[in-house]
Amino acid sequence: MLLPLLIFIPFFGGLLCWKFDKYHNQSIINWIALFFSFLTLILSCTLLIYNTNCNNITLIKKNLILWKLKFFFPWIENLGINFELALDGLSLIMILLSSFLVFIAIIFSINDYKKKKGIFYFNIFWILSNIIGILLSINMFLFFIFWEMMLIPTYFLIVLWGNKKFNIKKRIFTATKFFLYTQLGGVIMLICILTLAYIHYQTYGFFSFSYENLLKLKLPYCTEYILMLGFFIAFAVKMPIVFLHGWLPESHNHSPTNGALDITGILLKVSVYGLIRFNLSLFPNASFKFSEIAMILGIINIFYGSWMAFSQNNIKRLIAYASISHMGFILIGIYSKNEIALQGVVIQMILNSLSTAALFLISGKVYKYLNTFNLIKLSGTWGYIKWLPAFMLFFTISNLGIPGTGNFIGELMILIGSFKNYPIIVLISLLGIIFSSIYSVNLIQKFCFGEKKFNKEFFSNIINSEFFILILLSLLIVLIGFYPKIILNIFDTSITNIHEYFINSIFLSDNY
Amino acid sequence: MIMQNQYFIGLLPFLMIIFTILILITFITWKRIHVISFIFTLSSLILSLISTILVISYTPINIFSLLQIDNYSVIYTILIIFSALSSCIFSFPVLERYKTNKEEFYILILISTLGGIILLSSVHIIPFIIGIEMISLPLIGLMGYYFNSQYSLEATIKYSILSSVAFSFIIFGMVLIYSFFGDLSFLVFQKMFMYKVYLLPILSFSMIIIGILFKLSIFPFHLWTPDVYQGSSFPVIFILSTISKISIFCSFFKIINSILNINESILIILSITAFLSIFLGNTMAITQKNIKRLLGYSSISHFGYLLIIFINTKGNNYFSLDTMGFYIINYLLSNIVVLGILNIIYHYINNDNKNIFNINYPDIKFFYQGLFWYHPFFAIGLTVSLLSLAGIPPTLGFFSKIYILLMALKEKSFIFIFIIILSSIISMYFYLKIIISLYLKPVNNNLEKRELFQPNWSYQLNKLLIYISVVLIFIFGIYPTPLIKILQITKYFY
Repeated sequence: MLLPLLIFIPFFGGLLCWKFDKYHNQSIINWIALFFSFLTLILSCTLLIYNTNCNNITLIKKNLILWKLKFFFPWIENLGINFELALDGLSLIMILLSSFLVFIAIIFSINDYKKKKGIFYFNIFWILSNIIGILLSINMFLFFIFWEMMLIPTYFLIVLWGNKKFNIKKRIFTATKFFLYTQLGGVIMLICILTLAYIHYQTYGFFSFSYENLLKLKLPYCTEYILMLGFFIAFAVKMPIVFLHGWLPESHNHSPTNGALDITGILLKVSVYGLIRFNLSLFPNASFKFSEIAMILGIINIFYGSWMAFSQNNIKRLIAYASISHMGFILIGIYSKNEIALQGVVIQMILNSLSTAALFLISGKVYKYLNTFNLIKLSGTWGYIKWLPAFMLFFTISNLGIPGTGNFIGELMILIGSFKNYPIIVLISLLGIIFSSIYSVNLIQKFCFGEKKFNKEFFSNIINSEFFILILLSLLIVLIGFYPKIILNIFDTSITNIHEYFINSIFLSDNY
Repeated sequence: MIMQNQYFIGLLPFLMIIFTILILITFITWKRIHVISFIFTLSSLILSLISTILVISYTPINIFSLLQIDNYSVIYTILIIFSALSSCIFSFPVLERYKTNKEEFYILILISTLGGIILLSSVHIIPFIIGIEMISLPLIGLMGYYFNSQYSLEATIKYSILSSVAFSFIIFGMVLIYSFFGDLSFLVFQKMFMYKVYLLPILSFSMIIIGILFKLSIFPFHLWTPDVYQGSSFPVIFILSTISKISIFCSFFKIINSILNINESILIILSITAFLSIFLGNTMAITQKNIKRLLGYSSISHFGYLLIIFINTKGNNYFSLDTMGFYIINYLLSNIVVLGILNIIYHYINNDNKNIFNINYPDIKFFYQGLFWYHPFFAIGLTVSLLSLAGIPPTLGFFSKIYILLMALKEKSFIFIFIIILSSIISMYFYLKIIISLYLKPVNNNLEKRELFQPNWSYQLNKLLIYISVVLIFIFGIYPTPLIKILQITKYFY
């Protein structure tokens, strides 16, 4: 019962926020939003109790995936569509991450005055509940419904509460671009899901969208490859991977200035979860063959992202391109057929999300006072703004992956893990780290140091709660950097499980 | 021949509507009271709806081998009568402000409905032809009802000429069939493709198809649609796009479904027309500024989707009936919401404008900009129904899209899958354009200034109808199992 509650509580909170929007006193809405996001965070923390380690090696051999918690409710029996939710370590860590990030986003948007703030919160909560739904659902149909519904609130957020500096037509264009890109991926994935269900119908005589049932299917190689490609495109649009990334920098640039939506943009990285959970285990043979191409795409991502990031003057675009570059490492890790690399992927994803979120929030804070994202106009903030440049320095460095931060652990695990199978690709991607250090140094140099370009005198603008959050984030990053077992313990077994399943099914087939 | 009791029960909805028409005509000659004739029409339609539901337990009833009332026809008859009901409700406020004769409008709607019902239950060519003509002739009168509005006459003349030409094609095809087989019942169509050598059956069948495609406004015969839509008022658009199109489609589906091995070349032609009408309907809708024209183009593309069911049925109707039911019910409900809301805004907001039939600006879609901030219910209703037309979850349209996709997958027609992907993106683009304009800042404060509502009872009735349809779209979008169970009934129609 806890699992559906986790989906419905944020949505309900959003509805309440909308309801209370009539009152002009915004503090009521703020408190409601804060309360519900905190409640979601607490609830997802209580899930940790269920996540005790247990010996599941016997279960792996039976080709079953072990769930910690399960919820089943019949929905449309004729088509085999049921309300199936399940929890394992991987989805748990992602839920923790997303509810934590939304909590931060709401704390950071409390002090901004916005028109129709209740509806703004409603949209944010809608996104959160959809993301939790994506992470929990193991019925492919349910998964797809959550996947599609997430687009609508994001669209409205970009258009209605976007950066007011830009013309409304530009914002609509950007938001429509985002919608159409993801809609393209979504329809392709829908067709693949329906094909899977139809193949199940042909072999077993009834429709089923259930993940566990679909795992048992033996697909012909060609079909498997095509379906895998369909899923991969849908996930690649949201990650994003180069050639499908056109929506990302602009939508970050046009999104609301306080960084609340940017965080939800980071949450779109649930597609990495989708790649691990669905692509690897539903189509093991095809993913096995596809891995070289995916890794080359990853290398392109690393280099393209870091080069583009170097040439940006807009902070938000720079951060967006940097996250594209990091997606390259994640792609390499996923397809390296190695367990350590796969665990590195999850760590890298979490830490990258945390540091990127912090960077977006800081740039939003700076924007509030200096009204620009342009790095040239922002230069020389060190000594004129309290705390923020220092945090910027820290999070940029952690984003780069300096030893001592958690990002280093993620990158290290990915590179070490994949070195065994793909030494040359790892060597090439190591070169990418040099470029990423170049853009990071560029950002630090331009933002913190250099000549002072703006007219304001020294000001300290950080509020206690926000300061506390930033400190908390940096402590978390350092803590994981020194002792990564804290989060590794949560998703360790389930990643092992998925990896074993992947390797086993390849051994069983002839393609190995 | 002796009329049996069963016949009487089967013909009850027909008789009810016929008597309503007669009584209305005599009533009008005596005295013209708009409200009374409206309520009379409404109540008789509700009664015939109830009687149609009662008929279900007596099916199948074959009446002189002209009409066959089975579960399939009953279900779609209910839909047709429901849409007639809602078109009456929509047209009441429109007619209230019209100075001269009002009551004939309902008679025309009732005749059109009667034609639709006859068409749905016909198993013979004669009632088929009568039904088609009974639908489209009153439509000409309905379109030209406000003859002093701007595009009304143009639309009327265009529709009357073109539809009579198309109808003559149908009749010519039927005559050719009769000359070849000497039989006029629908069993002819089963016989027709047994003879593969002869050109005549194929020729006659393609003649019939031309007429039908015109009525459904599918690709090569689609050009009349946007013009006619532009010239007519919202209730008439509603009748045109639901009663006429749905009944013609469903009855023609009966014919197609009875043919087991249809000629390959006809299938190829049909699939090309479906392909092009989906594609053209969506691409042409992008550039439209007039909301009526846009709805016309979107209806072209929707019937293109429905044509996919035609092509992929091939005698096996396990999926196709479900698909058709889902698609048509979704189309009907979202049309009720869209056209109903536009109608309300058009006729209640421009209260102070006396000559509303001459102004054209509420047609332009930017008129509706900022609706959300003044009338959130209408804006949300429009959003839901447009998303449902585009097929985004959690609406009913999503399930209809899924059924269409499953159908195309089952027949492995990958070209259709490709087209569905392409067109769903294109259609999303123009639906989003309308949707987002509802939430922006209003440009001309048209909606803000006017204190619109004298909330009289007809307004409340309209609102109630819209409310019910929005809720149905949502409920079936979240939990479609009852709908599936209802549509299961239609499968026993042989």
